Amino acid sequence: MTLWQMEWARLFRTRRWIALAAGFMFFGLIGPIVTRYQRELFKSLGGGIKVIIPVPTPPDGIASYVKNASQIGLVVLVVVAAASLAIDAKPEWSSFLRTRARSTWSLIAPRFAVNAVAGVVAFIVGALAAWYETAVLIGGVSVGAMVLGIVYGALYLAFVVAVVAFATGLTRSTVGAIGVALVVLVLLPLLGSVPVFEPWVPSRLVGALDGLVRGASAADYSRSAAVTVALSVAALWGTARLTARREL
Amino acid sequence: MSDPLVVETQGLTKRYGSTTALEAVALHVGTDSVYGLVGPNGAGKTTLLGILAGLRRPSAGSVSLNVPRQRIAVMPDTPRFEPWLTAYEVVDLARRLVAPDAPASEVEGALGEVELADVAGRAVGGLSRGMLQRLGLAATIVSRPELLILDEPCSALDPLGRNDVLDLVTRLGQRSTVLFSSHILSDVQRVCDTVGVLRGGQLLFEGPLEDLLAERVTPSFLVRLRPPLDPVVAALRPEPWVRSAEMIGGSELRVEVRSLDEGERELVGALARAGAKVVSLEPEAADLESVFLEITR
Repeated sequence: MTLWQMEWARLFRTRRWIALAAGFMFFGLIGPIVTRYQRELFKSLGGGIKVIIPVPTPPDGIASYVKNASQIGLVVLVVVAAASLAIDAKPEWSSFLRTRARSTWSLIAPRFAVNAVAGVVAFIVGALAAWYETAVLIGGVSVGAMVLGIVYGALYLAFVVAVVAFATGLTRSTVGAIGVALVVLVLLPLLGSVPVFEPWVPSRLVGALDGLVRGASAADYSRSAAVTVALSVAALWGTARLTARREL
Repeated sequence: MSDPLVVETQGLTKRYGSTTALEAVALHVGTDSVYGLVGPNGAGKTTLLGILAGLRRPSAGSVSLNVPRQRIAVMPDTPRFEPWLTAYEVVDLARRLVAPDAPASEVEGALGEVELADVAGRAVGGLSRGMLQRLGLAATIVSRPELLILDEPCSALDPLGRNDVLDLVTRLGQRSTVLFSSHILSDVQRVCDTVGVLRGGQLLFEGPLEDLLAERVTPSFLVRLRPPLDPVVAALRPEPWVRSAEMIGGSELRVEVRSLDEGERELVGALARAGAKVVSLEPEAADLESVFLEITR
């Protein structure tokens, strides 16, 4: 068994993949349906209150998925990734690995990669489900915009896993890492609310899929994508440094 | 002390804030020796082994390891593994990490050596503490390391399991250097040829076990006699090589002597001159426990 095989085994034997798949797929399937039928739903509630809801458009179906996936799905990914990346959470197991692995990076790389791939695959599957249902129930969206939006979304999820990795470099407990990562991920949109930072922050990529299907151009997200890649690389480099320096 | 040294530390010191866990420790572990590091809880054994394993950094001093890092295997006192891995996978992971060129049959061999071959396919989460300890040993020996660092390898084992592990450590000592810590002194006495006594972060003694036992405890003889004993005691006490002569019950006499050599040379003659009717005479074996108590008191 290799460290890479072990990470895949962790994902499947602990059934964490189900949590990830459910976190993204559920909203991929439900989002467009709710968007399509929300007028009927409100009407059936009755009560004499008149609620004016505009006729849903195809981007609304995709937006519904993006909104939920970027909240619930993201939290699930953070928890799953932290449980894997917190190498020193179990010192005895960590000493087994650290005294045998050739480098700290060789321990971090498979954990980062497997969780990032799992998160991205779950996001893509959810997006494909939302795309299909939107097309069937509401109407078609641009293929190019969808593909590019998925790429940007995938990039952001890989960044999220890198942030979680960095958090495990700062704190050895799984819960602590989840807390640190969530604080960072909540602060980024706040930073993005400042106009001068807005085009640059990684969290801008969260809305890329929605924005692109509504007609935004790829260039609108390019600066954010570049920063996201740079910060991800820096976070992983920092993780390796911090973890290697930490004593058991 | 065997030569050359596999592990040598100089002035090794470790501080945690204002607490000194290790103070100027000079450790010397010779090639192919089985070195027992003994000491009470909190003596600094785990800290010292952690530094040697590269898991902690010293505050001062140096560590010299004359084997490549990849040829050192470390086992913590309470091994823990991912519960969803099988016993085979744990040992195979150790093999792939340390000795990827070694054949997979080494995994079965290691599991067989610690008598876990029957549970190779079982998930680790279902194994007992004793089994986990033996699994840790299997993962340690699968790479055929040159230096084994074992922290309390028998701590979770029942007497039978402990016996097996000590036998294994003895066998390993024939092909590798073993450094293991324990607070079970009889275990150390059984398998180690060299001992280091650690207390309060200081290495109080280091050397061959025989030297420790011979030098640190006052040598004595137990003599069984037919009564009367009083005249014999009175005759022995004035002898310059006798430190004390005390009756134990009505038929035994403990004679503490200045040195084992003098006792062996003089005691029989002195007993004969005193007209003692000797039933038996034997040197009292010093055990590590009494020595340990004496030097850590």
